[in-house]
Amino acid sequence: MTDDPNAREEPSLEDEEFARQLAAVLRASAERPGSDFDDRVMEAVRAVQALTPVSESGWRRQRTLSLPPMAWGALAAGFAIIVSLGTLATSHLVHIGSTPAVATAVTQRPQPSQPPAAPRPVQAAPVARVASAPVARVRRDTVYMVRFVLADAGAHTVSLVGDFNEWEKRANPLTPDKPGVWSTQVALAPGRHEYAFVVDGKRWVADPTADNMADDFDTPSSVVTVGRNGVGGK
Amino acid sequence: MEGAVPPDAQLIATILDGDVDVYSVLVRRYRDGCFRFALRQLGNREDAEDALQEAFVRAFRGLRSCRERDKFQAWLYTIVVNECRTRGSRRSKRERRFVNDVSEEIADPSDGADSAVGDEIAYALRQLPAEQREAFLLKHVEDLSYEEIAEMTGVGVSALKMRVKRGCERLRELLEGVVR
Repeated sequence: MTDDPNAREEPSLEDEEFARQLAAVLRASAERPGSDFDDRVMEAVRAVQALTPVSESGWRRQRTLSLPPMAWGALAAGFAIIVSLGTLATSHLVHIGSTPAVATAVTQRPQPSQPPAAPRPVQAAPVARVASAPVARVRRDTVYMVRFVLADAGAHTVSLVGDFNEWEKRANPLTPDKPGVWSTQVALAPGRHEYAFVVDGKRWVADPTADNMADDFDTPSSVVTVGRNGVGGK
Repeated sequence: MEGAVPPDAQLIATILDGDVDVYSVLVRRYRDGCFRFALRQLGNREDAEDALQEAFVRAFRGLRSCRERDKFQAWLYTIVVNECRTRGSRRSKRERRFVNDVSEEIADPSDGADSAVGDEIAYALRQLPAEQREAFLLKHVEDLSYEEIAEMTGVGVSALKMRVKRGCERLRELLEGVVR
């Protein structure tokens, strides 16, 4: 039903009184979440904190790295310099061959400024994070190494599927960095990419920290946008 | 004592200083009201709890972006509303696809001999289009102003008033004889 702008919009007094009666009944029905709700939320919150701290101190500060002039030789030889962020706030350079790319500086930006989607508790469902770092000077053939992280204590195998690997489960398996925390790095060209995690070969899991969507079969997936400023960049 | 209750802004500052456990105070403070909305909006406890949990964790992750910390409640409601919209949309697509899936069907309370008024109302609410139900609940049950609802939903005040009005009219039809 559409909102007809020409229709009279003010509720009648009868409607108001009726609504008050309904509201009183609904407010009085003291239904609450289950008794373990608080614990589940806090468990998930602590898991998030372990992966991406929200506190205002510590690893959130930005850092800039510059490549020495010698590095340009290697770049000219056709090697991509791709940057990845570690799972828990470390930053490092990764050199990957075969894809031409140029990067001159790296700025660590481990956390998006917008409120990201919420992760589920580690025990019941995964917590995931995508991280990347922006590259200061970009050519059209620049690719970015994007790190995908999934925390799922109950998983035995995890793989990354997306439009960048033809949704092939065997293409990008994640490896456990530590118990229950899985990660992999994928070189992505600038643009919009859809992806999902596949847990134990059959359970598709959207990334709760990213924009999520569902395809025509209601299979969950997520969207990461890679731009000149890294993940989420333009 | 009113003075003994730390305001939201103070709690948020403490959390952002690294004391994550303080977040549980905010959870306890707002979970029941948010749950009431989510339950009525989504129609079952499981979905409501999932949506609320996700909303609380999302709020935690984005806590730094909550600029008006003394308006945490309204900010949280925005997240809860969005989460319910997302889940409701997914479910309606699923229900359209699996028409024989009875697991998520809402029972008609008239099927039972001892249906309470609350159940009748909950059932009637489920018959409303999601946007009318959302507007009605936020306005009349959560007692928010149209301006507040407009800010958190992105829907104009006039459209919201129309949704509430139509929702009321439909509920009166559905609940004739149950609520005067």
